[in-house]
Amino acid sequence: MEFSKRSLTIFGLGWLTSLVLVGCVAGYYYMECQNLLAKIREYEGCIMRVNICINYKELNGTIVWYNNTLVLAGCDLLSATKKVAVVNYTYWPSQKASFVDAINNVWNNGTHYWMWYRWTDNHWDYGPVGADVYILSPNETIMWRYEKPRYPP
Amino acid sequence: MFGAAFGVALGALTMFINGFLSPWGVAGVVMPYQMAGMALIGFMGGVYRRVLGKNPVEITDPPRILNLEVSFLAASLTLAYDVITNIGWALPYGVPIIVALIQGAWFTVVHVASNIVFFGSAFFILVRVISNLIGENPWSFRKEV
Repeated sequence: MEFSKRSLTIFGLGWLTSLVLVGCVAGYYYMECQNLLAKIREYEGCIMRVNICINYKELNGTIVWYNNTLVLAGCDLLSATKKVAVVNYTYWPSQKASFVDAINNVWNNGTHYWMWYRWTDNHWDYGPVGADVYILSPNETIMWRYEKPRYPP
Repeated sequence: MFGAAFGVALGALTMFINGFLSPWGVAGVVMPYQMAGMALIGFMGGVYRRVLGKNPVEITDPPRILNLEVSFLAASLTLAYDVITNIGWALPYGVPIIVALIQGAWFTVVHVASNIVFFGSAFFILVRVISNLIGENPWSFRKEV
């Protein structure tokens, strides 16, 4: 196929057009990103990041981490967990707390239960209260483990 | 087909009418820019027609390269049109032009892509239809430029 000077000029224009379009689309996403970052900065005092681990080791050997999960400041553990997983739970009025029945469709079964831990002083501590009662702190690390309960720790 | 001057007049008139009857509503302050953009496209159509020269074979059986040329030209002119109309929107509202261009990026992409497809596939068919309607070979139609 032979290209005349006219064709080459027009194809050059088309090439420039594609460059401009790519630049505009890249700029669009850059602006979107900047807007989102600005929004995050704006809400910096109202949000915090936490690390959530869901440990299915005793079920199938899997451990899944959700690091830097953004939650509202003052968020409880149950709400934070609901952000990263499907959680079924029951509220027990006598305990004034909720009991987690299943995470991601892995249900308590009489021998194994979902227990939660917090990472303090370089070791895992059993969660002292129900997940909906425990208020998270910024950058806190929490683990849900499907296990045969071994408390007291 | 009818020369650059006719193209300019037709383009401007089309957008003038479109400014009142568009389903998007009355164009308002953007209308002069739309008219200028479409006039530019009409002008470039006339220039392209002139550059192509007198070659009736190409219109009845256009080679693939000509279809490609028309597509690429349509892409560039669509971009030029969108830049002009974005400027027309940005200036009265005090929005930086680059921001206006970036905000309309995806619209421009769709606009350019649809015109590439449309011009690449239907341009010469339309030219033949219009030629038949007016009963003249557009390649031998009197040029104004």
